Amino acid sequence: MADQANFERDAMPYAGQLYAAAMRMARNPADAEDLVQETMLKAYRAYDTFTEGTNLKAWLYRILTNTYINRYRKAQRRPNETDLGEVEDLYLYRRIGSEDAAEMSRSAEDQLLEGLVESDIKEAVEALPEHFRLPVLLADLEGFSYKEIAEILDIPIGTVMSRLHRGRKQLQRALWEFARQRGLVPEGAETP
Amino acid sequence: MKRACDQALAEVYLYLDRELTWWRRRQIRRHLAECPPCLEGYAFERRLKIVVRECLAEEVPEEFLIRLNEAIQRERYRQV
Repeated sequence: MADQANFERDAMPYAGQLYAAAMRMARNPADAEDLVQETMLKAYRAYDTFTEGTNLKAWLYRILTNTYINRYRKAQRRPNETDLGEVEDLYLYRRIGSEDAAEMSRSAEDQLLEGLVESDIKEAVEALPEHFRLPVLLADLEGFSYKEIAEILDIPIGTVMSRLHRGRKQLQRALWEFARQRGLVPEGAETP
Repeated sequence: MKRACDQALAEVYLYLDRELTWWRRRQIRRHLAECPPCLEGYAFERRLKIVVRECLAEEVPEEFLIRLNEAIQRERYRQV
């Protein structure tokens, strides 16, 4: 069992990381701060139920996601949250890539990946439906394994995989839209 | 070859997330070594994953961390 006296030393270093995830969940700084503060207070109060030596980071993220879900599930589905249905694998790459013009596609890749700005990617992630957004954040922002994500979200590992894969494909489709708006798409690229 | 490509591309996320067995990982590496189009696809997904991670990072406000520490301290005194 963990000792509350060590909470600051052991758990507080994760506050910054939690904040980044909370920003993409709550989508604004004030709500993200609330979310992290509520998470850390809950974690502090329950710290004596945490088994020392087990995965503290995953434990904190479990509290964060539960707090987020409980607080926001009641709220209306956000208008910018859309489920685009099935999207093919390697969506972006297939749009810009061309098997017989490797060099050309390389420069198209650079143009796309270097031209997308930070806010495009943030917005694209925030527009993902919650059931896709959480696995994508946990995997791509935090680097959790599928098994850890399954434990954090309390869903089967197969569900983690399918949501993560579909979420990433949907993210790519949203990024394609940003790229088109910014004129980053090579001439003659296939339009969905 | 086409089937090997389909299989390799279907597992690109599993590979990049390091969720494949070492055996399957090795098979894919072998395929990529002899298949430039698949290698390109893998390289693109890897770059995209890095770009996404970097763009999602956030600078946590220093004042917030101070307030958070104070909130934990208050909770500590409240309990005693």
